[in-house]
Formats: sequence, C-alpha cells, structure tokens
Amino acid sequence: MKSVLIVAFCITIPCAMSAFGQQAVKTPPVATPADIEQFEKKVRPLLVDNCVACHSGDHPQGGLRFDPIDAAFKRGAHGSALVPGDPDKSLMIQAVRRARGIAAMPPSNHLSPEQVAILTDWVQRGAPIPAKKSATVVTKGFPLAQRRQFWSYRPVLRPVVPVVKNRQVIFNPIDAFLQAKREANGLTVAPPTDKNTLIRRVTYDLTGLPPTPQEVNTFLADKSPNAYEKVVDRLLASPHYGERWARHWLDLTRYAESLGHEFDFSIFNAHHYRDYVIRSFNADVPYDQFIREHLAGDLMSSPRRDPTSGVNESLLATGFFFLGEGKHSPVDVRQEQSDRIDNQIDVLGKTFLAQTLACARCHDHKFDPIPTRDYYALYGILKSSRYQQAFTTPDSVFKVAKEAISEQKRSYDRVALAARWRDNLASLDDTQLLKILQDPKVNDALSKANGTPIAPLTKWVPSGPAFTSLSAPGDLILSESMLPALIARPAANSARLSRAFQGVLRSPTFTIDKDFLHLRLAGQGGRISIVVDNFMMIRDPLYGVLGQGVDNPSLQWRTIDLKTWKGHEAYIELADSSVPIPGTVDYPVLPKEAYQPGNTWISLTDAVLSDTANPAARPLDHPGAPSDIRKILTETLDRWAQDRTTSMDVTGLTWWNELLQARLLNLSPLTEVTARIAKIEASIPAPERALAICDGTGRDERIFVRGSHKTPGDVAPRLQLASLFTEAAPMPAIAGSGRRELAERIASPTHPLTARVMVNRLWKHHFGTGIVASTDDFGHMGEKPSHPELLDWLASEFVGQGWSLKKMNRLIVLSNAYRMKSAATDVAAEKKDPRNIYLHRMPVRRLEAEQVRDGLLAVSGRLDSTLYGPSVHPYLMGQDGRGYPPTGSLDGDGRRTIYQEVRRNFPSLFLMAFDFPTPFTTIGRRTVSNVPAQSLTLMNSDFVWQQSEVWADRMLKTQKDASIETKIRFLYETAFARPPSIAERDAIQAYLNGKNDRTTWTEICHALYNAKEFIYVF
Amino acid sequence: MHIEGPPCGRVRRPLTRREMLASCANGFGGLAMLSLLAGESQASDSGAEGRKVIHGLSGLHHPARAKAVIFLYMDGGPSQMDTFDPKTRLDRDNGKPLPFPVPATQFNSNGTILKSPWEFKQYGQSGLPVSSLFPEVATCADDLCVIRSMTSNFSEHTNANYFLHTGSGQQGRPSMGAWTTYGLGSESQDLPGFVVLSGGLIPPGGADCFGSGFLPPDYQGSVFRQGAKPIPNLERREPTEAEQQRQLALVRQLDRSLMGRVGATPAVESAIANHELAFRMQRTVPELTDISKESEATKRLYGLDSDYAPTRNYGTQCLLARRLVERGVRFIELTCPPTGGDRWDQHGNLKVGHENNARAVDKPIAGLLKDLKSRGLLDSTLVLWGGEFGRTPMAQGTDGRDHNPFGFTMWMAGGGVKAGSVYGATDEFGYYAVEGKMEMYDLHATMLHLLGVDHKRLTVRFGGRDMRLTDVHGNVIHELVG
Repeated sequence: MKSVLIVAFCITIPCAMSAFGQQAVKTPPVATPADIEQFEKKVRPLLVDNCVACHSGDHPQGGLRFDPIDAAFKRGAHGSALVPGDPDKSLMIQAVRRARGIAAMPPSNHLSPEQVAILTDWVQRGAPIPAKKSATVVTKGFPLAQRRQFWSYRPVLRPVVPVVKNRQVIFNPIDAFLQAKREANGLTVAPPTDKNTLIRRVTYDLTGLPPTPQEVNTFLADKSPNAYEKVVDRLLASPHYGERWARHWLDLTRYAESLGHEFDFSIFNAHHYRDYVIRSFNADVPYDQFIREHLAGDLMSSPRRDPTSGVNESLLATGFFFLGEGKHSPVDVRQEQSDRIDNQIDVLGKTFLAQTLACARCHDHKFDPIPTRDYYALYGILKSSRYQQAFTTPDSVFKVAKEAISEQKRSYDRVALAARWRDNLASLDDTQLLKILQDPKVNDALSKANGTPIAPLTKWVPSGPAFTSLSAPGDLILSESMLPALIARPAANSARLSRAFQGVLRSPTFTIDKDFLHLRLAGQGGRISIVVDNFMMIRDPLYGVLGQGVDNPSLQWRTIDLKTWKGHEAYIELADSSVPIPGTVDYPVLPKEAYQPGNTWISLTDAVLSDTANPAARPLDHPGAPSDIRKILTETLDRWAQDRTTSMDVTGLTWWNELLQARLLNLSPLTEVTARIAKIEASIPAPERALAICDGTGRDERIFVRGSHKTPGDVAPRLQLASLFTEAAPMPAIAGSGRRELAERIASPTHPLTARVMVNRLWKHHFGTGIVASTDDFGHMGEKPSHPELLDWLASEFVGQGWSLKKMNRLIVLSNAYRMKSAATDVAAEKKDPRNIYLHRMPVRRLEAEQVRDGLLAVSGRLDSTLYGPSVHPYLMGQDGRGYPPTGSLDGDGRRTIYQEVRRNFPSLFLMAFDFPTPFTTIGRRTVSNVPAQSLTLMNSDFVWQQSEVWADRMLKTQKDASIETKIRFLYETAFARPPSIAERDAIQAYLNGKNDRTTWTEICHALYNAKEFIYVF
Repeated sequence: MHIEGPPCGRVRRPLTRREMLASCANGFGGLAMLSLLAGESQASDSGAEGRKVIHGLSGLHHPARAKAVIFLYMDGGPSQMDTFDPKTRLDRDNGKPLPFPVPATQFNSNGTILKSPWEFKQYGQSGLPVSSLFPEVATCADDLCVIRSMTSNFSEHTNANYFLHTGSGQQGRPSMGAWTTYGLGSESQDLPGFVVLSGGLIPPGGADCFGSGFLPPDYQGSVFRQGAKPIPNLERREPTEAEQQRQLALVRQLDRSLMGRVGATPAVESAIANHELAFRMQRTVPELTDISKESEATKRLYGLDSDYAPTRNYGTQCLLARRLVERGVRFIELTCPPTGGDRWDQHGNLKVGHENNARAVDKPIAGLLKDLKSRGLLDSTLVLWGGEFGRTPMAQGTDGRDHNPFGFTMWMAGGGVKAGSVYGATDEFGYYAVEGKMEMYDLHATMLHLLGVDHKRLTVRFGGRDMRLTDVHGNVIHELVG
C-alpha cells in the first residue's frame, strides 16, 4: 500500500471523526490459543504478503504499521485502521473491500473475497493477536540454566587417571580408564591379538587399505619392543591416512558434487574442498584451526597457503557451506533460502557441536539449551554470507604483471598526445563534430540516473585480481584488441589495468523497495546477476531476468523489473567472465578453459532503484553551439594533459571518448603501448577458482514464528547464542557476517562440546562405537557416555596436545585396548557385557564401502594411488533420469573411492549396497547393514569378476614359477595379511583339482573376495 | 540381547535369534533385524538409534484392513479437472481470467481459464464421474474411493515428490514404502519388502524417493527394471549353476574355517546367511518376472496385447505387482512408462500428453483392479493412484497447465477403503481444496491406519528426535475407511 492510503484516510476524516473520534482506542482482547492459530495461519500471512512491504519500518506509508502488528491498533491522526469488533468502522477493512470514497488497498492487486472474509472475520472477533514477543528471544521461563546442568554442557575438567588392580593391561591412561570400568563391572580383559590381525586392523583403520605382504612380513620380523609403534608412525605419515580420515569428515559435511533436485546440476569445483580435507589431515592441521578455516577461512588475516602453489588453503575449507541441495526454480525464493540455511545450520550444529540446532527452527528446543533465537541468530550470520567461486591464485602471481602494465601506462607523453588531439579536433568541421556528439549512446553515457543509488561504488567488494580499484575520470583503458577508451566518470571496470585480469564485484545488500533497477553498463562477455535472498541458481523459468550477459562496448542503460521480488533482500554481482553459476550448466562440468577465457570485461557506473521504468532522468539537451563545445573540449583536454580531470569533466571526457571511439584521434603512441601491454597480458595465467563463502552485508534476521518466514517475529541479534554461551553478551558492532567471531567461539578450548565431540568421533572410528554412541547428538536425546571420565580426559588431552588429530589417533591405537583380541571367548564377560560397552574385547567390524572397493583394487594390484584432482565418474548401471551423468569405467580408473564423483541423484550402486550414506546431513556414524545386494555385488558384479582376473593375472605373473602352495600363500597374504591354514590350503588345492590355469585361479580369487574375512576386520 | 524401545514406543520381549529366524520370515528385513539383534557392532553402529520393530502382523496396533500397498505413482502431476474432478465452471468461463489472484506458479506464465478437453460421464452404481481419459478405469468406478481435496506443500517436482514419498520436502527421509516395511516386515522369504517396478522413468529427486533415509538400507525400495535382468548383479557369471555352487562351496569352507579361527561371531554368521539368501534370489527373481505361464486372458486383461508399447510396458508392471503381492511383498510402487512426452507434466501439449499417459496406464490399472478382485486379493491390497500435485485451472500458454499443489485428486481402491465414494472437494474452478482439505500427512496416516499401524507410534530415533512418516502432523481420515 502506497501513498494513496494517506489520501484514503484524509477522505474519511469527517466520517471517522464523527463516528469514533471521541472514543478511547479499543485494544484487542486476550487471544486464545485458537485465536493465535487462526491469526498465525490465516491473518498474518495475508498481512505479510499484501501490506507489510509498505506499512512497516520507521516511516510506514500513511503512518500505518502492521509490523509489529500491535502498532496497527494505534490510532492515527485520521482514525483507526482497526476497530476491534467492528469491521465496518475499520478503515483497513473498508480499504480492502474497495468501498466507495476510500482508496482501495492493496493498490495493485485485489484481495479475493475469501481473503477479505478472513480479515473481516478476524476484526469481527475482536482482532485478537498473540501477546507481544510470544515466540521470541529466550522465551520467558525457558529453563536454560537447568538444561545446562546436563553433562555435556558442563566444562571439561581433566579427571585423575584411576588406579586399577591389573596394571599389566595399562599401556597409557586410556587403558586405566577402561580397566577401572571393567573392574567395577567384574569384567575380564581380552588378551592381545596376533600380529597379523593387528597390522591388518590398524592399516585398514588408519589408511583404509590392507597391508601388503611385505609390510606384514617386516612387522613379523621386527622383534623390537616398539615394532608396532613403528608401523603406526609409518601409517600416520602415509598420504593414504589423509584419504581415509578425510572420508570420515566428508560424511559430516554431506559432501556431494551435485545439487540434486530435478536436474542434479553440478556443484562446481567441489573437489577442491575434498582435497583440502585430505591435505589438512595429512598435514595434521590443528583441529581448532581446521574449524576456523571451515567457518571463516575467507576472513583470515594470515591464511594458510600451499607452500608450493601459494593457493589460499584456508579459503577452500569454506566450500562445505555449499555442498547441500539446491533447487533451480523455487516458487518461493525466501522459502528456498530458509531451507538452504536450515541445512547449513543443521550440518554446522551437528558437525562441530553435536547439537541438533535445527530442532529450534520452529520453537525453542524441546530438550536442549537452545532457544529458537539461536537458530535465527545463526540464520542472520549465514544470510549475511554469500556463495562465491573464489579466486585462489595468490595476488603475488599477478603482481609483476600489474606493475609492468602500470609502468607501460605511464610510459607515454600525455602532453604531447594531447597536443596532437587538439590538432585532430581543429581539423574536424562543426557538422561532423555535432553528428558524433548527438549519437544516442552519448545520451546514455551522459544522462543522469533516475533513481536512488544502491550504494556508492566504493562500498562494493571486489574479489580476484580485477576490480581492485575504481577507474577515475581521465583514465585510459589500454588492453589488447580493445580500442583505447577514455573513462569519463567513476566506474568499476575490470579492464582498468588489463582485461586479462579476472574479477567479481559485489554490491552491498539492499532491500528491493522499488519496482525497477537501472544499471549503466558496458562490457564484452560480462555477466550481471541480481542475487535475491542469496539465491544463486539464476535461470528460467522464474529467475532468468535476474542474470544477464553484458555485450555492449559503450555504456548503456539496462533496466531490470524487480516487482516480483519487492521487499526481498538482494545484492548485485558483476563478473567479467562466464564462470557458470550453479544450475546454468548441465553435466558435465565445464573444462577450466571454457569458463576462464581471460579476454572478457565489464564496467558499471551506476546502479539505481526507481519506481519508473525510464532509467534516465530526461533526454539530454542539444550539446550546444559548436564554439561552446570546442571550448569545453579544449579546457578538458588541458586539464587531462596535466592529469587534473575530475568528475566535473564528465561531459568533456565523454565527448573526447566519442572522438576516440570514432577513430578520429591520433593513436600513436597508444597503439605501441597497447602492443607492449599485450605481451605482458599473454603471461598472465587464468586464475584458479574454488567453491567458497564470502562475507556480505551484515544483517540480523527476525525469528520466524513457527518456522515460517511469512510470520516474522523479533530480531535475533547475530552471535547472541546460547549454544555458544553468549546469549547475554553485549555485542560490539560486527562489520560483516559474524562468521569470524562464530568460528572463534566454537574453536575454543573452553567450549564444553567442541573437543569432546571430536575425540568421540575419533574413538568411534577406531572402536566402532563412540564413547557417546550418538556421535552427532550430545544433547538430552542423545546417548549418555559409557566412559564420561575417559571422554573428558581425552578432550583435555586433545586441547593440551595442540588439537593434534594425529597425536590423538596415535594415542588411541597404541592403547592396549586397541590391540586386544576380538574373539568372544569369555562366556561370563559376554553375558555381563553383551554389547561390549566396556570394551572387554575388541569389536569385530565390517569394512566400510570405500574400504571394500579400495581393498578390492589394492589386493588385485589395480590401485592407482594418485592423490587429489577432479573426480572420476562413477560406474553407473541401470539408472536413468534427468541429469544422468556419463558413466565412468568399470574399475573407476583404479582410483581410490574418495576420488569418485558423488552425484546426489545418481549414487554408485556398489557403494550404496555397502552403506555409503545419502549426503543430506551430517552422518557421524553410518549404518552397518547386511543386505543381499552386498552378496549379489560380490558374487556377480562385473567389477568384482574383473578384479578377480586382474588379481589372478598379477599372481600368475609375479609367482610364475612358484609352487601351488606358494601361490595360495601369496593370495592369502595379499587379501588377509596371514598365511592360509592347512585346511584352507587343502580346500583350495582340492578346488584346483590339479589345474593351474587362469580361469581356475580367477575363480579362486573370486572366492577369496567372497569369503567373509575379506569384508571384516577382526 | 535386548532391544531398547524409544520412549513412546512399545517395548516387546526380546526375541531370540532362533525366533527371529523362524518366525519373522521377513526376507531382507528379517535378516537385518537379525543382525541388529546379534549384538556385534551393527546394533550400535546404526544411524538410527533405539530401533523398534513392529514384528509381523501379530504386532499390529489394531486389526489391519490391508496387508500390502500398490502405489501407482503418476509422475509429473495429472490434472484433476481433466480426470476425476469435473468442473462445469471451467466450461462456462473458458477463456476468461480467473476472478481471484493467482498464487505464484512454477512458470508464472498464467493464461486464462482452460476448460477440460475431455468429457465426463458417470459410471457404475455409484455414478462416479470419470473423464474420457480413463474409460477402462471407469468400469471399476464402484471400487474407487476418490479424494478430490489432496494438497501438497510444494510447487516444485522434486520437493513435492519427496513430500509425497517421504512426508518431507527435503532429501534423505525414508520413503513410505520403507516405513511400511520397517514397521511390518515382509512376508516374502526371498524378495525385498519394498519393490519399485520401474516403468522407465525415475522421478525428479531420483532414487531418494524410494530411499530408506535414516532407516537401515534393508528397507529401501529395490528398483526392478524392466526386462530379463530386473536387478543388478542377479545373474551368475559362471556358465552353470553347478559351477557356481562349486565355487560357493569353497567360500563356505573358507568361512567355516574362519569361524573356527575367530570364534562364533554373529555379524559374520548373518553375512553368511545373507550370502545364501542372495544365491536363492538368483532363482526367485527370474521366476517372479517370468510371466509366460499367465493365461492369455490374464495378459489381455492387463493390455499386454495392446498395439501401444507403453501400455504393454505398464501392463507388464501391473501384472508383476500382482505377482509380488501374491508372494507377500509389502509395498510395491510403479513408476510411469515413457510415452514420448514429459510424464504427466503437461505445461504444454496437454491434449496429446495426457492422452498418451492415460492410454499407457488406463487398461493395465483396470486389469490390475479386476485381477486382484477376482483372486480375492483386492480386499487386502490397498491400491493408491496419484501424482505429487495437480494442475492449474488456467492455461499455461494455450494448451498446458502449470503445477497446482493447492487442490488435486488421488484415489484409493481395495484395502478397506470406502468403495465407490468421493471425499472432499475443490472450489468451483478446481484450484483450491475447500472441503475436507487433506494433507499429505493425512494420506500417510490413513494408509498406515489401513495397514494396522498407528502413525504416531511408528517411530525411530534420529538426530535427537523420534521421527515419524507424518512428522508432527497427520490425521487418519476415517471417512475414507469402508
């Protein structure tokens, strides 16, 4: 509703005054729960959809506010919009009824009779509204302090290592804590396992691969007391350690490389994140640093850089925010934002804190100390952050070229050039001059913008080597195969130094409060995106207008109709290259050169919002008398020669540029300078890009009452978070999103959850079950720790050891507990502790999907142990549907499974059969199932048969002249890290039945792959 | 060994392994439960905590009306006003704008009111109106229970598909087939409890429409493709069964030797049993899909003699659905056959697209209903027909309709529903459900109710919550129950 409402209220003054002018203002009655439900379900959505855009804020239209709703009951100068119990006297009802003598509301669309009836009925019933702040802040009576008495919210205290009776089994303090519980429960402890079993167990555990026969034999032969420690240290130093442990982490961050939904579009450059995680685990990046990098790696003042490439490693971590699902054409873009952010909050809460923060989306958490305000405080942080394909190549790479080009641009004599141009001007006749200066494009370049600027260009944020400074009036653009151009007004121009530099420029966030956006743009191969509510998948059918190519070398106005998104938040992204935005390019992922052409550019001078469709205030006047024109031109040129031009010279500079573009000016020596610049440009590399986050404008979010963005409640200030124990902390002004502060608070040694949660995850991966079995939920609904003191000791040790994951893993696998036998031999112990909660023996474990596949490849000898890089297509069979990707080779090129592409809609059936998780949220513990698909895969799949052949061939080649017994022994040691028993050897010999051919050996290899020992570790 | 029940669940006496093996006979589900109970790492490893199993029909919350479900999924969203929900107002106002504001639609390219290109007639004793798109299904009118007031929360295919299948618009939740099988197990020894018979089109959202989410993968839908090899890796590579047997005998020997080495390990024992089941499936699945022994009359009933290939395709799937029901499979979903258009998603080309889609499924569906009935299976089999949403009363372009989640039609048959009835109504344009508005949660609650399950008591703990197919919503619509 716009200014017309003021008119409406004026018109009705006499009637309104006479009717109830003298009465006290009626207030709404106390609302019953049914009233509140009716209001929230029916009335508030109507008001939000139709009224609030104009009737809210500090200066609402007509002085009438519906937000907060109780403000609507305030009597204005002209009467009351709402008279509880009396619709006929309520001006608002009259307005929506479009009654005579009152301006109809909403002005542009009629409410349906049903909608009018809803409002009328509500007013008739007394216009009940919920009590103020009913679902806001930390709800009154929310038992925060009481809930924090729960064990996991109490500070980590370092417990004293208990003294136990059986000292023999104490290798390190871990064993003391375990033994104390065993003794308390009257349990025995299993004896140490044999060396063969132990090396297979620890090798699969630490690297995800089986030990080679050589590794086994070295270990067996090593009789020194620290032989096992040597194995552990070798494994921890192996690059395969990072591959194995990165995969555990990727389960937490729901790693996938496509967006799912209808077309399963690619998530570009996701694999850089995967590689980052592997490298981080291998480099043993301290976990607190690892957290900081995940949450705010883009904001670090001194990020970690790859020592050889100089690539910003810290930045890469932030890609995890964008590994969730994405919808290409949501009908409700704000809903899409809230679903996307909900997933981010869910993953963030579970991964780092094992907290189900997402439960607080609709109401305060039912069990844990998490008020709904926490959720929306985080929402504010995340909506103040943006998706980006970041430039990861360090600035230093471009520095030399930048300096060399700058030097070239200073290398000519501007005074002499100006003198030649003065002569060029003198030789032009007046008719010719006027014709050029009356060209319509001069109008576009000189006209005054008709609207309110979104933000000064100096407030826009650049990323990448281009756009690092603005073009100033008088600058010359000199770049290969571009005509030199003179800048007439301040501009963001990616070609300012050279169009070989790539970059992206983003505006501050603004609220779309007018119908049209006008942009004055120039460029070649550039792209402009209007990112509404952080929605990046800009494409048809609904969003195509928000993303446009820019291919006009001289400045032109462009108008984008934003009526559909009025009231929404948005920012503008200016990009000089065609880096695809999500959802615009179908499978496959484009090769790098296809989206980093390096010869595109874009420039912008104005971005204004306006309620009129016409971008320019008015057509320009006639340029004037030729003598006046020449006077302006000459004076401008004089100032330009002395490098003194300013914004005041826009007319003169624009005219000069027109003469330049019309090729009427002497270009020497600019042509020569440009040629020299071109040589430098040829040496500029295309920048590397990676999926990452960046900061936008910091804006708080309102609480969504009952989880719906259509019912906004009170503001939830960012960083006032009960889950971080800062719910009452006074907040200093936060410049950006607040992610840096968030990261600091989570990655803190004093947060009771951070260290506990991570050591528990390590424990789970070594022993199959966490000390807290519910690894992703340390709240009241999770499970209680089996060994609370041990957990706290490990957590404090973890922090004390500088958050080193390798040190903690080492400590755990060197414990006596880890080296026990798994056989359930003590009947009494099995009876007392049937679920082995007290670890009276080592649990038997089935290999995970990746270990099964990698194990097949390692055993056959096909494994290609290349690290990192773009993903390999998975082998797909029998699937179909939109976005179906190309299938990879049967053996996935022999690469480890972590390098297989994870496509949401087309998962690998092999991995699925072995419980590879659906990447939708944090999965700290996978299901371990036992389904026929597993057996069928091992029995009949082409892949397993193929690997059986490869393995048989390898054996027949390397053991060519060996005896049958040696051959069998080789196969056994390769697959199971042990020699066969006599019975096993005899069984295989019986199967061979005297044969020694490839087919029979292939069958034997196949049988060994199908033996249960292959997929279990003991 | 014991099972922990979640707070709101019933805690049953723990079953012994022997009891499990002997009595549950759940095929996939049973073995999974076995491994859960086995006490080795599985139980604690699972993503779903404190699992509760309603074991077999003896554990029902109330007497069941249906034992199995066949869901005829109409991918893309058939138009309600062109099939089972006639609207004379559209005929009258054809070409006029809708007299109320149109909500945002998927394409926002909204034209004027488009009358149905098809005529409606009343059928059977019930006088149920059915359009000329479904002349064969119309002959079963007295078996149908038509719900005209379905709603969805989503206008986009994928969300709406997930919502219809899993009760949530996002990826990663268990499908209703998974929930059903999780709750009831399967009566089939050698077949999975939840089978998806693919007509060739995998719906938007992919395999996760049939996923098991946070339930164990045992309960996920096994997608059977058409043709001789319905599931991957089902065919042995050895030339003869004897040769495969010989190799498996070696595996058995090695496994026995392993058990001697490491001692009795329930998890490994279960894996061995699972291997045997897989071996048997190599026989049972081809036997299932071999329809050569069906009579010619039966084949004709399903339209297998049709000159339209998609009809033969879908007819075969419908016939297989009956065979699966006979074998005790709990939940069967059929996806659509490709007809050259874009599923039921006629943003344009409504006339041709809907006619082809209807032609492909009409005869087979009627055949399925009649065949089930004549074999006495319809009473205990709930047949559910419908898409993820309906379509708009106004045109998109001149010959198309956009998505409409605000009011659309699904129907049920058999399984204890009120036959020959209509429930709920849309407004006079067929846009919004105005009478008996039915949410997806209500559909799920009612379906589970017919199966003897209280939707509020079929729960599994995940992410700190006791999750349900119906989340925190859902009412059983007793008016649908006969």
